[in-house]
Amino acid sequence: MFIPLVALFILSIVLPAISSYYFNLLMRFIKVKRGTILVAGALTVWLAYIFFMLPWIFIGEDMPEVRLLSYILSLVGLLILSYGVFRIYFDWREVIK
Amino acid sequence: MIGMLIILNLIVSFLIFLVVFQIYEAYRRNYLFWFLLGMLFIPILFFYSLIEFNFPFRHRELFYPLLVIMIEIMMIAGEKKLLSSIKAEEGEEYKILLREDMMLLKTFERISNYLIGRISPLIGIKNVEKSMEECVEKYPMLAGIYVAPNEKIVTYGIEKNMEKIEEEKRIKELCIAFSFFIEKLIDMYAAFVPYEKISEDLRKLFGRIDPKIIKWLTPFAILKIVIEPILRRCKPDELTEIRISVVFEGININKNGGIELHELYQYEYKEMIKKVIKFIERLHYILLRLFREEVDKELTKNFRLLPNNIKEEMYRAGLIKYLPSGILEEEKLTFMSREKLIKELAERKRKLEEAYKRLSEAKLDRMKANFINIIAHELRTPLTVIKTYIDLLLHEKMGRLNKMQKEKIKNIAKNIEKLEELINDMLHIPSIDRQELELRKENFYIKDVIRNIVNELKDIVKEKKQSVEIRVDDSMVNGDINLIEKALKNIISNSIKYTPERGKIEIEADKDGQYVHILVRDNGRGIKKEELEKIFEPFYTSEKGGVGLGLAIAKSIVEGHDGRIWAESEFGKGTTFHILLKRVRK
Repeated sequence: MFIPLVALFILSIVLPAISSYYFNLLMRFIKVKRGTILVAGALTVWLAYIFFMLPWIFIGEDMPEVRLLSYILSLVGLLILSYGVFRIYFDWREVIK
Repeated sequence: MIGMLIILNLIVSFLIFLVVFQIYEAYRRNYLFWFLLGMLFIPILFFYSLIEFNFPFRHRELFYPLLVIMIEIMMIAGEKKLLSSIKAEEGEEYKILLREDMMLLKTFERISNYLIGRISPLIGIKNVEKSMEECVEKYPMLAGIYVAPNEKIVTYGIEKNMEKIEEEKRIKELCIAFSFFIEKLIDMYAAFVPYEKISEDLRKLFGRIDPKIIKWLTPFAILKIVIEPILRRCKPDELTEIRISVVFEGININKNGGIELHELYQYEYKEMIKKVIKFIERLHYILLRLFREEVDKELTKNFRLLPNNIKEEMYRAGLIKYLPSGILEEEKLTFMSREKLIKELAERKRKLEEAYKRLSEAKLDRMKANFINIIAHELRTPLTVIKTYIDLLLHEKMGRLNKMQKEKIKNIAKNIEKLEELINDMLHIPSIDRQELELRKENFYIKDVIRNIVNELKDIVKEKKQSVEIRVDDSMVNGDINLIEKALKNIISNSIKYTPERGKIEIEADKDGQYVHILVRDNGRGIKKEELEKIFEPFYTSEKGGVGLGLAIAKSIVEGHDGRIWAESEFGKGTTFHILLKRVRK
């Protein structure tokens, strides 16, 4: 199952590049004050995912230490994301009534 | 540990999903649906992780990239949808989310396209392109702009140029470059069509501008829709006279009567409005000379024809009231009365609030005073009875006492005396009865009172090895000598109390207009700034065991004598008490 795993992994790390391209395009037009927070959160979660997948790809099995690290990292990323999403929610609630 | 972390991740991601769901519920946009779907996959991913971690199975790792791909696809779909909705200027988010500079660019683009659409059948698109090239040459900000085959301008190049400019300068530069371009287009259009028609077109175009950016286009609209129609109708000799007379920094009148105001955008908004007003003032003066009062009617009519959004901005910027007299007089009156009304309302509100505050304070003070009065009187009666019995006991009228009993009763008597003193102090806090005070008033020298007090307190001063310096002139005061003495004694003893051993206390009294200014200065520990306002409040004390009535009594007495009392202090360096008492002129 090594080849499908690598293929899927490569696809999953290429797609964020496309996403960030559209995000940059969006930022040219719109003013989302918390854009940087969202990017920071998403990037941290993405890094956590890469860490998480590395042992499966290189040694073919799970490593508890790496798993722990990536869960911590993803938690940090999600917390940042949640802050950004909360702030956007409150900003928008003020604007659109 | 890992299990715990997965659960935590699951909770947080679910929370994010819920918030995005709330946003989706509120706005129901297509792109939000995709973001929401993407967010739903994150808790699913952690839920899967929780199962897979507890019950490992073969090839379980494959699901992770699969789920991540799903999330990413949803996000890309959401971004694409949002982008296309903004580009198509659909829905509210176009107005809400679009950056101010981008919105301005889109507006300029719309105005330019409208004008190009009208001009190109008259002069051909090539000439429009040529004029555009001239503009690009003068303002490189416009580089990259071109006319597409559908005869609409493409501003993608400008979007890129804007990225290179600092955010604060972006709007200004955009306004300068585009208003120059639009001025050129209007000039070309005016060569073929009566300016009234152009003015009408501009009114329609400006009426659709979003309130978010209207301020940037208000000067343009005023000069182009209100002033320019008059100038365009002027004869060449009249126009020459106007052009010679009205030379203005930032605004220029060309030989066709067209107003070139693009350079005005280099100034700050307020400065820009000021300049527009000054320009109108100067021009109005010349126009009045040329066309008499007719010009006022014309200008007023043109101002009234302005779209509502521009008029609102004129009201908001306060531009109407500064227009020369004769123009928009009714509107000025409305504006003034509205402003006056707002000011009056604000003033009344402030006064009402103040009065309410005073009333509640006075009520509270009265309640406090009554309460203290009642308590003090109620305590006094049983205390007198106790004191009588103690006297009888001490004088052995109720039987003989042994030595120990006598000693204990003496102790009780001493404490009763202290209590009595405290009650007397409490009775002094309620404001002084002025009628009663008038009867007790007499003239006396303040120096005598001060010397008496210092003499009374000399034992404590000696004990603390402090020095007391007195510099008192021969001012005379009219008042209740006992009360004044009590007030001063409270202050001086307070200073002695809070000044350390070998400290210094200075007492001064000097004439100060119709008052005697008494100063009690010590080099004690001082009072903190936040405590300084409270020290004259009854029962406020910074020390455990103190009652906190001395200064409150002093304040009550001094104010009862139409005087003033306050304190200045530097924490750690000392305190100075100031007392102003009305002086008797000899």
